[in-house]
Amino acid sequence: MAGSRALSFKIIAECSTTKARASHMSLPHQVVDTPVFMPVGTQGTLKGLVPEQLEEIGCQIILGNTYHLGNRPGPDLLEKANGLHSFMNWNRALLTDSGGFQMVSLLKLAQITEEGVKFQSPHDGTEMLLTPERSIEIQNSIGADIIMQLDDVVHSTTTGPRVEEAMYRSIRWLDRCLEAHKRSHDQNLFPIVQGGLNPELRKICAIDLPLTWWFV
Amino acid sequence: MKLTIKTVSGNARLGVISGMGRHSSQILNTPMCLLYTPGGCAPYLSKDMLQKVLNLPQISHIPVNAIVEHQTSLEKFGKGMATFSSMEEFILYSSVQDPSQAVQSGYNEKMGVAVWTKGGKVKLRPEDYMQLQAAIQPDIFQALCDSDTDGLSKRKRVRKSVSRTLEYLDKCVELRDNLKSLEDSCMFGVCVGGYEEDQRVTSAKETSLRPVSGFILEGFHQMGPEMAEFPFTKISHLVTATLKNVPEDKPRMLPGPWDPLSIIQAVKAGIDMFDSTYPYVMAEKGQAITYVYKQEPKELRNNKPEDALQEQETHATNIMDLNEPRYHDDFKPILESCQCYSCLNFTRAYINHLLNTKELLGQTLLMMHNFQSYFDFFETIRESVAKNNLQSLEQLLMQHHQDNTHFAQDHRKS
Repeated sequence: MAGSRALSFKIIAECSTTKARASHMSLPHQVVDTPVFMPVGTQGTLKGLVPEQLEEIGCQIILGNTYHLGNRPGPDLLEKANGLHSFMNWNRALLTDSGGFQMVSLLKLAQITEEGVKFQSPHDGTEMLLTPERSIEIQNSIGADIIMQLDDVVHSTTTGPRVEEAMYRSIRWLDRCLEAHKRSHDQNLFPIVQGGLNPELRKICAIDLPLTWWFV
Repeated sequence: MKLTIKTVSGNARLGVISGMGRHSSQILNTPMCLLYTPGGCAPYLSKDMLQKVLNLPQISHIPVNAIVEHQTSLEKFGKGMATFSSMEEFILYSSVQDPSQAVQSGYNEKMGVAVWTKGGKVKLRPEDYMQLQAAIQPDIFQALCDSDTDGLSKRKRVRKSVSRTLEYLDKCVELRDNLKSLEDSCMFGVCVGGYEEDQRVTSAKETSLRPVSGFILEGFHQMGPEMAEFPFTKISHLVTATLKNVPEDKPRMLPGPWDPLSIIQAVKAGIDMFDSTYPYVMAEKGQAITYVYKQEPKELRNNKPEDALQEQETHATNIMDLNEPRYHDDFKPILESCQCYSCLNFTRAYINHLLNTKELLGQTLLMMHNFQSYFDFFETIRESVAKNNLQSLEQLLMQHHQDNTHFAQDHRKS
């Protein structure tokens, strides 16, 4: 099963009345205690803090943004640097998002097609395309312990056929992400459950996802 | 406060300062620099990061312009700025202006001096200034002064700065007697006089007659980032004229963002104390100090021949601009031989990325490297004065100015 060697998950306590649970999530760089809040190190740095300070306060996992890192310093440089861990000197766990969400929220003219997300480069205006394959390729270069599929993101308050379209497309994109993923031995690909606020659609999506862990 | 001169090498002095009021058990070795802490904090460095810098100066330098707007809070607090900013282990020095910022010229008047706060210009008469210092409770402070002169100032303006500065000084001396919280504080007098040598002599002689604990030399430059490229040789004759007319047994301070070569030349002229605004203004520009001044080359971390060549190349330029695209994929530390926190943990490429994306950590890492370089450099200066080989240290640095032609020419004039 994809990702099963790069992550192991052990529930160590469960709440007797709710569905809450505490666990140890073992990732290639770190064992993470969950539930956990992940500080956001957007551009490969926590604002004004060095990794040592994060370790001192017990931080086990931080997040990086693929959209930003994909622009600067870029995947080629991150490859040369042997990944983001080495580049920023953070030796614990890293998680990257797919880059899709920022694209849709930050860019004025992002257009979603079956191929991927079409947008204008914010630096020089040229037309670019973020495909599931390209997102995984960039995330492979960054080297985070957990990586995200590119999903078709809709605003949570959207209703109507667009929500269902996005849900099924996300599943198709997940297949393409799995196909493109070159580092399943040390990077865990998390699928994303879509379906807006519709529980039926959410159920269909969750059941259809072939992996053991996912993002909601 | 007491200054004891241990060694003299030409006009350079190796000294020990002791007996500083509340910090009477501490001794300071000169020549030395202060720790630049505008607003009570080293720029970009929280206390835990500051403590990762070795050879920290024992004097924390706070310009009053950042404190003026908080005077009421500070008075209510009642325990002074050192406690307020959690820096009690440091000796506190408070100055009129912030040497890392260019003074906006033309705003001083007979009745008082202009300082620039976040909210704009504030005029300080001697009585206002002394009330402010009483709230700050420094161990050492600068007397109020008019040092708004430079190489272009007319003689009339220069003469005004001399007479006003003496008037302010006399007023500060008088007011200090009535301010209990300043009874253990030492006040340094300010020698001004622009580029008029006779005025420099007058200012020095007159200031020496007042009950001051040390001498600050100002009025050469508007200060700020541009001063980082201003060579000491342009004012060495004025400094010499001043120092001839102040007593030997009191410390002399030359504020401003001086580069290492200028520091050596100022030490040779007889200056004992400097601030550390130079590391800061360089960090603000995204530049690292890469002067090489160790006589024997330190062991390189990865002993590869091409690294040795690269190292030489770097040392030839004494300043590294980490903004330059060539560092985009350069995974060496700023300096292979540097033992600072930034060089031990991060690369040129990473700092280049941080500067490019305007991330705070870029300045943090440069600040730590630059501070470390500067403080280590002062260790070397003290060693050189003790061994009487300041001359060869100066020559070593001059060799590395070959790439900065305008700089090298100006420095060679001395």
